[in-house]
Amino acid sequence: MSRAPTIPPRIASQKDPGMPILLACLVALALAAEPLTAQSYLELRDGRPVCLPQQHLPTSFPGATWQQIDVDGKPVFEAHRDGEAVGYLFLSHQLDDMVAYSGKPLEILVAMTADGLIERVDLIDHHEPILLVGIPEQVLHDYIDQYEGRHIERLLRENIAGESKISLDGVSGATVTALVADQVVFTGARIIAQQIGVLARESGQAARLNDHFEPLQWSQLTEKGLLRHVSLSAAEVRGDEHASEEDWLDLHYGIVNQPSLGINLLGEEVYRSLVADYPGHSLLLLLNNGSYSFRGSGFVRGGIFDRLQVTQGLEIIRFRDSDYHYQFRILLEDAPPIHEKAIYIVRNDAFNGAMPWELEVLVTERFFDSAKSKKFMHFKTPFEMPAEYVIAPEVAFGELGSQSMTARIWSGKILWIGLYIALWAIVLLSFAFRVRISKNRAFLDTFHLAILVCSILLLGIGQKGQPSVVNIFTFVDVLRSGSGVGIFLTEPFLFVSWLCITVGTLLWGRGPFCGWICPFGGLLEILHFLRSKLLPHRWHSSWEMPDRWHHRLKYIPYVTFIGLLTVSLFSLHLAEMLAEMEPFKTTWLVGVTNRPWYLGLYWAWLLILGLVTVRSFCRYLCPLGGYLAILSRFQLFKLPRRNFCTVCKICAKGCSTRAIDDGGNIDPKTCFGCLECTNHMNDPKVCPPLLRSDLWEDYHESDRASA
Amino acid sequence: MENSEQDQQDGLSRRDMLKIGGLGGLALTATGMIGSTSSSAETQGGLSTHVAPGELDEYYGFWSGGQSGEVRIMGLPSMRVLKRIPVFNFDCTYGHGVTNYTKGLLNGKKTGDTHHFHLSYKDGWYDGQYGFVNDKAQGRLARIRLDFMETDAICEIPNCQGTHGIFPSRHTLKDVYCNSEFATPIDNNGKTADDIANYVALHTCIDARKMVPKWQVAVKGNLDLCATDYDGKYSMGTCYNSEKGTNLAEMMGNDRDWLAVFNIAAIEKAVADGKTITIGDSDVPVLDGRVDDNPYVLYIPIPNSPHGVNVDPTGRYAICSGKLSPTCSVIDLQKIDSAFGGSIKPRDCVVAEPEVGLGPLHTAFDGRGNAYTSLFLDSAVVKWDIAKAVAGENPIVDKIDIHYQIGHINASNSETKRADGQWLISLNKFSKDRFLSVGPFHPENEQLIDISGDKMRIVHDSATHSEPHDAVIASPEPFKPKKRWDPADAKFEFERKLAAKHGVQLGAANQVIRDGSKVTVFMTSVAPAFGLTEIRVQQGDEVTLVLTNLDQVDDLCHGFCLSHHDINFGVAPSETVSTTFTADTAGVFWYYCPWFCHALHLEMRGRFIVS
Repeated sequence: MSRAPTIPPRIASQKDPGMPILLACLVALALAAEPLTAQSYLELRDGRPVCLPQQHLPTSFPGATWQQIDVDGKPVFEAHRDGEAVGYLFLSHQLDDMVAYSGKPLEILVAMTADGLIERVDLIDHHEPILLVGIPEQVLHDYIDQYEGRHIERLLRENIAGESKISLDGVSGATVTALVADQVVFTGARIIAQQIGVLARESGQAARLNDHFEPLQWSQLTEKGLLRHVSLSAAEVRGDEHASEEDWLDLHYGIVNQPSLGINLLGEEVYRSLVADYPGHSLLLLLNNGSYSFRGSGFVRGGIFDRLQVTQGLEIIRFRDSDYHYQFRILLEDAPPIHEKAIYIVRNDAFNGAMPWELEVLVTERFFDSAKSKKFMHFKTPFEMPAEYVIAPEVAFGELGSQSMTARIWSGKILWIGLYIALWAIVLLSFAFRVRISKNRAFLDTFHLAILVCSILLLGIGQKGQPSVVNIFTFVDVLRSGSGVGIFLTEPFLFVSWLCITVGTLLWGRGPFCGWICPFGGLLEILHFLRSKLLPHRWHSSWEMPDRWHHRLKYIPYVTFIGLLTVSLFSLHLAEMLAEMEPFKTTWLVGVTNRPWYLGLYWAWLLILGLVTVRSFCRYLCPLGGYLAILSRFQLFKLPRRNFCTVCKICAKGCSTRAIDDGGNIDPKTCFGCLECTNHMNDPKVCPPLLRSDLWEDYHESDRASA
Repeated sequence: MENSEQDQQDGLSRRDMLKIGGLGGLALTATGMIGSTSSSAETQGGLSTHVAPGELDEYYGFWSGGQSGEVRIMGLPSMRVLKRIPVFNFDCTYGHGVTNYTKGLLNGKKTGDTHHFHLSYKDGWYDGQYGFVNDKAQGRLARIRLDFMETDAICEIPNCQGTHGIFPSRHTLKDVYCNSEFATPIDNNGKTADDIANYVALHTCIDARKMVPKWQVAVKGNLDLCATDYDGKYSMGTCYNSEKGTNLAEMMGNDRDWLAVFNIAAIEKAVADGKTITIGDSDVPVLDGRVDDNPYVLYIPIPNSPHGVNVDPTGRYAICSGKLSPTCSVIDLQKIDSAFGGSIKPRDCVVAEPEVGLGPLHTAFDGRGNAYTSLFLDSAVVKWDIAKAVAGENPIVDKIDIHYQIGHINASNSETKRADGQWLISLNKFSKDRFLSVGPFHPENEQLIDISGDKMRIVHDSATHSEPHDAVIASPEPFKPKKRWDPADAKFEFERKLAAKHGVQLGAANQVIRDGSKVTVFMTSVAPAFGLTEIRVQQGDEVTLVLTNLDQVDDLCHGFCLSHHDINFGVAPSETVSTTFTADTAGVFWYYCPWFCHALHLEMRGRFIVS
C-alpha cells in the first residue's frame, strides 16, 4: 500500500484539546430540551368524533349517533343506531401505550363493530425511524389493513397460538413496529370486546394465593411483606416547612384472603366467615394512621370512594360503599392503634390478588395551602404478594404482552445471534492474541478479509443489523422520556451489537467494530482491496488527502455526530432524516433501488470515494465513527510501541488510516485496528531493533510495555 | 375534618391501656388507692369508655325498652344509642304501626312492655340470626331479625298473662321458652275468678323459626325469670308466688318457693303421645305439670321469693337468687336427671347457697369462675367465686356500691360459653341525683363497670329513657346487618302480590290505579324526587300507597309523610313499603320526604289531591 509522500507534522501533544469540550457539549445537550410528546386524541364535534390535532374525520359507522363512554377509565366512542350500540372507535395508544421502535407509541385509530369485527384501522401518527425515509410508509398501512374484516377473538387466538395470519412479508426490517401494532390494536379491541361481552374475560394468569398459614405477629406480617407499610409525609405534600407535622398517610395494606394475614389479623372465625361471604373476591385491607383520610366523604352521598383506586395491569378498580366492610377488629397484640380501617371487596374478577397491583390515593386540593398552585397529588404505592404465599401459574396462556413478544423475537433469531456473538468473540480474541495473529502478514490479511466477509453476510445482508447513530438518538430519547429501555430488547442484533461495541471499544478502542465488524466499513475495505487486485497496477495506489486538509477534515465525524445528536434532542424526526448521511439503510436495509435518486447518487459517490481513498466515509464523515472515536478515549489496552518508533516511522508510513504520529504514537481515535503495525513491529525482517539488535541494543532495555 | 378527628385522639387508646393494665394496678397499689389489704399480684382493669370519633364500639348492647315497648341497640363501651327498634309500640320514625306490614305484626295493639331480650344461639354462641323479646303487657313474644335489625314476627301467647321471663334454646335455633308471671283461671271467662285453686301459670314453648306456640305446661305457683341450659335438655323458671297469693302478704308467705325445671324431652314425648288438653279457643296442647313427682317439671325449693336464674358459661351451674333471702342458690344441672329419676330429692340439686348480700336478683359471669350478683336492697354488686361457694368457703371477692337500686345485671358475652369478663352493665331503677333534673319522672341510670381486673370499677353513668329491664352485651362478630334490602325478601310479599294483581312492576311503576273505590298508588323515590308529583283520588277512596326506594347508595333513606292524614313512615334503600288509609277529607294535601336525603330534600314533595 502506498501513502502520501509528505511527512506528517509532529503533533504537539498526545492529548487532543478538543475532546473535553466535545464531552462537555454532549452532557449539556443531554440535559437540554424536553422531548415532544403531543399525542392525538378523539373528541366529539357536532356529534361526530374527530381525531385531533390532525382533524382526521373517521368514516366508520356513517349516520350513527355517537357518545363517549369510559372503558376502564379510558375514552372510547360508541356509535348508536336506533338506540343500539353498533360500533366502537378508539385510539390504540389511549388503551395501550406500549411504545414502538421509536420509543413512542403508534397512534392507530380502530373502528370495531359491536360484534367484535375490526371494521377499519387507520395509522394516524407514528415516529418510527425505519418508515420515515426508508421503507415506504404505505408498507405499514398495508400491514395494519390486514386486520380489517377480521374478528378480534380470531386475531387474538391466532396470535397467542403463534399462527397469526397477518403477514409480516411487507414489513421485514420493521418487524418491531408491526408487532407493536398487533399488540396495541388487539389489546384495545380486547378490552372493549370484554367490556361489551363479545369476549369472555380470561384470567390469563393462573397465579393464585396459597392457603399457607403460620401464626405471625404484626411486626412479622410487615417483615414478611404480607402487610406493606408506606407513608406520605407532610413535607411531601406541603413542603419542607411542614416536615415536623404528622404524616398525611401512614398506610398498612395487603390482601386479607391469604390466611397468614387474614387469620392472624382477624381471627379464624371472622376470617372464614368473611371469605365465605365474598367467594372468589379479593379482600383488600387498608389501615391508616395518617392525618389524611383515604375514605374522604365522597362515598357518603355519591357511593364512590373518590380518593381511592387500585390498578392491576390494564384494570382499574374503584370502590363503592357496597364494597366497603368496616366492622372488624384487629386482634394482634402488637398492632399499633389504628384510627382508620377498611376492607374493600374487589368485585372485578380480572383482579388477581396473587399478582402485583398498585394502590393510589388522591390527595385533594382543599388540603393544600391556597398559595400553592397544585390541585391534587396522586400517591401511588405498589403491592406484590411475597412469593412464598403465591402458587405460580402452571401455564401462562393469556394476554399479548411485551415480554412474550420480546421472547418470541429472541427465540426466532437465537442461531443468528449465537453466530454474531461468536464473530465478536473471534475479533476480540484476535486483539488479545494479536502478536500471533499478525505474525504472518498474508495470513493476517486473509483472516481480516474473511472476518469482514462474514460480517457483511451476517450483519449486513443476512440479518440487517447494521448499528447506526439513530440507535443512539433513540436511546437518549428513551432515557429522557423514561419510557423504558425494554424496547431495545425487541431488536436482538442491535442489542447485542451495542453491548459488544461498548465492551470492545472500551477494551481496544474503535478498532474491533470499525475495522472488523462494521459491515459497511467492511464493504469499503473489500472494495478497496478488490480495486488493487482487479485494476491495472497504475491504479493501485490510494489517493490520500494532503496533510493540511486531513488534519482538518478528520474532525468532521465529531461535528456530524454532535450535530445530529443536538438536532435529535429537539426533533427526532429531523435527526433521523439527516442521519441519511449514513449509507447503511440504503446499503443493507432497503436496497439502493428502493431509494430516491438523490440518495442513490450519494451512495454511489460514497462508494467511489471509498475506492479512491481508504475508508474515506469512515474517516471523514461517519457520525457513528465520531461517537466511537470519543468512546475510544477511554480504551483500556493500547497497542504497544517501542522507544525507537520515534526514529523508524516504518509503521507510521504503512498505516493506511494515518493513525500513527511522528512520535510513533497510535491515535486510538483514528486507528481501525488492522494490526499491520503489530505485524511490522514483530517482524525481524522489518523492525530495525529486531533487524539489528547489536545496533539498537540500547533500545532493547526500554521496550515500551503496553499502556 | 380529618384533622379534627385527629385532635380528639388524645390520651392512651384502650389497647394501650390494656397492655399497661398490670402495670397500672401495681402503680395504684403503690399509691394506696386500692388499700393495704390488696396483694401486689392484683390487677385493676384499665378499660376506658372513650371511643374516638370515627372509631367503632367494641360490643353491641341489646337493651329491652320496658314500658316503652321497644328494643334498643347500644354501642359499648361508649353507651351510645345506635338504634331504637320499635317492637310493640307505635313509632313514626320508621312507621311502625303505620305501614301495612307492621300493622299486620301489631294486630291493632299499640302498647307493650319489653323486659327480656335474648339472642339466638348455635352451640352456646350467638348465630346472629334473631333476637327475641317478651311483652309482659299483652302476653306476646316478638322476634327481631338481625340482618335488618327490625321486628319481623309477633306471636300472641294463649291462655296466660304476664309473659315475663323468656329464653331461647342455646344449643341451636329451636325454641323460645316463655314464663307467664300471672296465674289466671284456666277458663278465664269471668265466671271462675274466685276459684284461686284453679288459677294456673303456664310455661310456653314457641317454635323459634315459625314463631307459633308448640306446647304449654301448667305449673304450681307462678313463673318469673327464665333460663335454658346449654344442651337443650332443660328450661327453667323461678317461682316467687308458690302461695298463689293475690296480695303482697299472701305472696310472701312461704319461707321457700322454688325453681321449676322443665324436662323438655319428656314434655315433647308427652305432647306427641297426646297426654295434653286444650283450653278454650286455643288449640295449643297444654300439659299438666302441677302434681308432685311428675316427669315434666321438677320443683327445686329455693329460699324466699327467688327472682333471677342464670346459667354459668360452663353450663354446669344455674344460679338462682332469693330476692327476700340474702342467698344465691347454686344448682348443679348435672344432678337434675337424678332428681327427675327420684334417686335424689330436688333440694339435693342445690350444691351451695352462699350469703351474698341483701336482695339478690340476677347474676352475670366473667368466664373466669366469678359470679356478679345484683343486690337490690344493698344497692350494690357483689362479685363472688362459684367454686369457693361450692367448696363451702367464703366466696366473696369484691363488692361495689351502685347508684341506685340495681335491677338486672349482665356482662359481655355472659350468656354464652364465651363470657369474656370485660364489661358489666348495671341497670338501676333509681337515678335520683345523678343527672340534671327533668321533673318527677327521672331517667334511669345505667352504670358501666369495668370487670377486666380483680376489682370492679364504675366508669360511666348513662341516663336512659325508661325503662330498660335487661340487656345483653355481645361481641359484634356474629352480626352482619345488611346495608340495603333485597327486593325478593319475604317482607314484601303483600306488595309483590299487589303489583302482580295490577300488572305493574314493583320498583319501576309510578302510577295511580283505580279499582272501584279502591285506589292503589305505585310510586318510587330517588333523591330528591318522588316518582309522582301529584296523586288524584276521590273523597272516600281507600288508598293503598306503595313506595319503593330506588336509591342505590347506603344510608340514603327516604320516607313518606302525608299532611293531616296521620301517615308517616320511612323507606330504606331498595325497600318497598305500603300503607292503606281512607281519603276522607276533600282538599289538597302535600306529601313530603321526612328523611333528609339531599340538598333539595325540602323540594321532595307532591300534592295529594282529594276531590
